[in-house]
This record gives sequence, structure tokens and C-alpha cells, in this order.
Amino acid sequence: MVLSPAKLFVYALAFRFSSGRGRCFSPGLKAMAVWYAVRFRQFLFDRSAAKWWRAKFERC
Amino acid sequence: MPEKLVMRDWLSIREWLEPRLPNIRYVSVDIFDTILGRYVGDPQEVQLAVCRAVAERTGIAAEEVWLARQQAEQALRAEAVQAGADHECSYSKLLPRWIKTMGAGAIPELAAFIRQTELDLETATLYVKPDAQVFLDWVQEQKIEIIAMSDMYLDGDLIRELLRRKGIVSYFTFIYVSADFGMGKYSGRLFRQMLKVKGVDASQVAHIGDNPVSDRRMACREGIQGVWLYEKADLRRRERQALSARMAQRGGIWQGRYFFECVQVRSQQQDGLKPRHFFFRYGRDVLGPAFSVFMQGLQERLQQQAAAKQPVEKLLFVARDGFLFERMYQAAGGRIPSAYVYLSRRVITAASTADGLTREQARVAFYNPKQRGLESVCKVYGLPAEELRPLASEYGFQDFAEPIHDWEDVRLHNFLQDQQVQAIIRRVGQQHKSLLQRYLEQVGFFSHQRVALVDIGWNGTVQKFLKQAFGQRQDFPVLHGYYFAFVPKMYADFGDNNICEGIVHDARRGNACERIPAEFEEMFEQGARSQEATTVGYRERNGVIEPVLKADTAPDRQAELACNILVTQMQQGILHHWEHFRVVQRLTGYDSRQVLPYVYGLLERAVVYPTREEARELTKLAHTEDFGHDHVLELGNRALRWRDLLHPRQLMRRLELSAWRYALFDRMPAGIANFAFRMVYLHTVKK
Repeated sequence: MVLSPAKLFVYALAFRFSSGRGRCFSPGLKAMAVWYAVRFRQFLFDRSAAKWWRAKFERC
Repeated sequence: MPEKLVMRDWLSIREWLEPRLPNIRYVSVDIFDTILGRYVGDPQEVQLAVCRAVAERTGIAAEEVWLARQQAEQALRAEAVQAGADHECSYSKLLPRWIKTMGAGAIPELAAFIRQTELDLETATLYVKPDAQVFLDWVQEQKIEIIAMSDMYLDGDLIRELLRRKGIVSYFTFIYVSADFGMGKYSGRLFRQMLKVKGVDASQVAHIGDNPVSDRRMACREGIQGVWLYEKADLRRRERQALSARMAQRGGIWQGRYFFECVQVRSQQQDGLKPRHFFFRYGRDVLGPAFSVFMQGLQERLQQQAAAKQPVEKLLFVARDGFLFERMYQAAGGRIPSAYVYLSRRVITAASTADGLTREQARVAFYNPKQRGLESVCKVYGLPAEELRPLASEYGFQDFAEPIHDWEDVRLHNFLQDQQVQAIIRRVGQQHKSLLQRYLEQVGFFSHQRVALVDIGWNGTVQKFLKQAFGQRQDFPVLHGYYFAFVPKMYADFGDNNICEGIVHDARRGNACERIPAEFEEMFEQGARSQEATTVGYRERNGVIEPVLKADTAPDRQAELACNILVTQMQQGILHHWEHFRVVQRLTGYDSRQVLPYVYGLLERAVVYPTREEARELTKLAHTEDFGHDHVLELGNRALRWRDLLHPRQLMRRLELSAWRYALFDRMPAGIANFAFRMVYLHTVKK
């Protein structure tokens, strides 16, 4: 039920390459870039893991 | 001195607690995100939904309502700090201040309405974490008192009501809420208050919660053993959902994606552990979103009609594909009187011969590649073959079932010119028309000024012929046809006061992206159809007109009966989706237009890029036409292999004849062939 933005983008390309009208379910290149950038940042700077480490080193 | 405890799940907490039970008198637990999980990433969604409901009730803009709430809350929190309490505010104080700030004090019972709405929506977004409930059961068995503690703006009585609605209030002997005491866990004061009220030593209490500061550090500072419940997967999910909610503000597909992510989380939390059959899952995850957005669109249109002072007075769900839509409408508590009506193209066309049969009408029976000449004409129009057969032989039709490929066939022309033939046709046609008319009177079709037909699609044949056959009656209503997909290939003019609209797909909009349901109509028809056979006529019994359904012995009906169990599972999945869809819709306030772009993407995936499992399972379904032919359409075909590419003509022929072309590529990896064929196909269709 939940599709990745990249898949939707590729599906919409078939419209763009044929009829030139692929906007209706394309996530948009810019928005998709923002999405993946934030996901990557979340992966690199895992806030919940940071909290865990903080708790680990904190005095009781 | 309390230990530093970070636990990843409830089982670990239990293992830690078990040997220490003799020294523990109270187990205290945080409520939100600890015992109760949320389906949405951001709890603020509930408050925004309440503001939308208030805006609808009061006529004040939702943004103003939201602003007034923020102002009232901030003012109350500032006053609490000034009075030396914690930065807390309670709902019982917030509500009158909020109503006063937005200047809606004169509206009767508004406070009760807001309170109820907030409670309903909170209940809808929360679920009891299964592991947490197992833990609470265990603690209760150990005869240890459980206390609930929460930093929350809702008062204790509202929290108690929430817990009651979730069926877990009986676990708790006392509920400490920051809103009641004006002090929070984050300052440690709520813990102190609890120890004071209970008159217990801090070392005899263990507190569990999801916040490392409020629930662990501050509890430990007060001498209570605080345990931080660190559920990594849940935290990541909330983070992901929060990002989806932010992206949804961009519009486009992002709103729909966020919407269905919430639906999926809700569905998984309630149903995730149950093993589900493929057809249930397909109904829930593919057809569910499509049909739910259609029903949402239908409700919006009915509301628009009511707002324009032209309300639809009766909804008629047309057999057989209107069956599921009627059930969905009833499940949503639709207020307009509705009925499931036994109409089919077969009975409508039969009635259309009341004034005789033209050559153009007869040709309709020859569109089917498996047509059997005059026999098909009789089946399509419900004409008596035994009476017409001798007359046909006079015009050279030795074999009544001989296929007629030449539509200008002189024999056919002469046969239809025969006055005796036309007299038989008119006599039977008038009987059909009379019975149909009486049936329509019986279901109240002519008793209302404005009636809506709801059906899956596609050409609007039923609506067109109803107007044509009975439009001259003075009491013929203004007719609205709401279709899942409307593709008026056969007729262009539907006449005055006869309005058609495709909600998910309307070919007149000319949007290539939305035409996906028309590329695998059979799938959608299967998902929505009733288990009953198609209506082939009517009969009178005790003064009541009742439908005559196709016999179960017919070969196509036999194939249908064998598939009924699969269709039932699919419809259970769709209704399951619809239940969650409605809750999330109320919470997000999205209308069908906001969700539709994503649904088109979802359907594009399902139809053009099916998985192997989908191609294998869905092609088990047998599809039948209700247009008089005893014909079963095979949805499945042998999958294409690479060597088929060496025979392009044969390949094209197979693609042309296949009901679901894209399923033929399921042996080819990564969907590349599907993508290529999709592009070629889109080039060939009219833009």
C-alpha cells in the first residue's frame, strides 16, 4: 500500500517518455531528492541512537 | 540508589522486575507511547482535526480556531508558571478560554461538542500495545498495584475515559496527570506528589516510560527506580511518519502517501498478526484504496448537492457491481435512503425492444467474438428463439446459431423487415418494459425528484436506456450517475437532467494517468460484484415484481460460483481497508482529490507491474459478461518467454487478445518489459 517515491517516479517516467504527461503521480524530482536526503540524514544521525548513548554515559 | 535501566522491550522489564518483586509495592507506567501507541507520527494531528471539526460547526476558519487554541493554551501555561506551578495547562481550563478567544461563546453546547470530538479522535488514533498489556496482566497477577502517570493536557477524567474505551482502565488503581496537579514528571514534582499521596517510600516504586528524561532521569532523582523503555522500531516508525507528514504539506502524491501510510499502520496494529489469504491482502492493499477513495468522492458529491439545495433523495446501487459499494455506504452510516437494485444491461436492452428491433440494435450482439448469430441476438434482447427460428429459416438462416460476420447481411435485413418478426419482438419487448417499469416504481425510482445511480462504470448503459425508455414520464427524476470509472465510448448524449460522472476515472477529463482502471476493468468488477447471478428478467409473484437471475446451471455461472469464495475474501479485505480509511480521513481531513494522485500510482503498480504472486493468483478468477452471452473470459494466459520476442506478430496477437496484458511479462525480471510495453502502449492510445 505504501510505495517508495522512487518507484512512483519511475512509473511516471513511462508517461513522460510517451505522452509527456507524467506529472499526476510523479512525486517530483526535487521533492523526492528532499525525501531521500532526509532519510539518509536520519540514517546517519540516528536521533534515537544518540539518546540511547546519552543515557548510557549519563550518571544515574 | 536506583540503577540505570534502559530496556528494549516489555519482556526484559519483566525479567528485571521478577526477582525484585518482594521490595516493590507500586509499578507506575507512563501512558502515551508507552502503554498506548499512536497511529500517527505527530500527536498534533488530533488537535488539528478537532479544530477542523470546530470550524465546520461554528463557521469560523480552521486556521483561526487553531490560533485561538494556541493563544489560550500559551496564556494558561504562562499563568501557571507565574503562579509557581509547572508549565502545565488542563483541558477543563483550556476549553472555556479557547471558546472565549475565538468569540464563539454564544454557540450552544459547543464545549460539550469539542470535548467529545477530542475524545473520539484521540480514541481513534490510539491503540494498546499488545506486549504492554501482557506485562500489565502479569503485574496484576503478582498483586502489585499499577499506577498510570502522564504529562498531558487532558484532565484525569478524560484520560480515564480514554483508558476505559481502550479496555484497560481496570489495571490502574490511580491516574496521575500533570493537568490535574499543575505539575509534571519532567520537573520531578508529579513523582513527589504521587509518593506523598500514596505515603510510600520511593524505593518501593518502579516507573516505566518512553521518555529518557521525564520517565527515567527525573524518577531516579526522586529515588524511584525509573526504566526507560527504548523501542527502537517504534521510534523509527514515528520518525518516518513525522517525515511523511511534513512531506504531505507539499501536496501532490505526498498527501496520499502519508494518508495510506497511516491507514497501513492502523491496519497492521490491529490485524498484523493474523495470517491473511492473498485475496484478502489484495482487497485490503490494492482494491481497498481505490474503492475507498471512490466512496469518499461519492460522499463529497452528495454533500455538494445538499449544500447547493439540490439534494439527492435516493441512492440506487446497481447490480451487480454496486453490491460492494452499497455495503461500504451502509458501513459508513450513509443517511440518504439507499437500495440495491436488480438492473442489468440485459434487462435494460430487453425493454428497449418495446418499439421493435433495429439492425443497429441487433449488431450489438455481434461485438462478442464468440457470437452465435441470431441466437446471440435472442439472448442479448431476451427474445423467444423458438418463435423466431421458423421465420428465420424463411430468410435463409438454416442454422439459427450461425455466426453473422457481415453486419450488412441481406438475410438479416430482410428478417428484421418482416412485420411478423417485429410484432413478436414488440410484444415481448413491451412485456419486458412493463415489468421493468413496475420494478422501478416498486423501488421508488419515480417517487423522488433527484435520484443517483451508483455503479462501477463504464459506458453508463443502464442510465442511458432508463432515460430513453421512461424519460417521457412526468415523474422521471433528475438522474445522477456516479461511476467508479466512466468511459462513454458507446454514447455521447445522455439527454437533459441526466448527469454522469466518473469519480476515479472520467475519460472526458483526458488525463492519461487516471485511465488505469479501464485497462483491467475485469479486476475491478470482480472485486465489487455480488455473489448472485446476473439479472435476466423479472416476474410477478403475489403482486410483487421480483428479479429472475441467471440459472446456476449456466456454464459461465458455474465458473463464477467456483470463484465466489475468492471474491468474498477480497471484499472482506476491501471493507477492512474502508474501516481504517474512514478514521484516517476524519483525522487528516483530506478529500478525495488530495488522495487520488497517489491512488493512480498505486493502481499503476498493481495493473502494469504486478508481482508474480498477483499474476498467478488473480488469473485464477473467471470473469463473465452479463450481456446475454454464456461466456467466460480467461484472465490468465501463458506468461511470455524471451523466445516469444522472435515471433513479433504472434506476440502482438497474444497481447491484443489478453485481458491483462501486463501479467504476461511476469517471468521477465525487474519489470523492464512492463515499462517498455507501457511506453509503447501509451504511444499508441489517443492522448
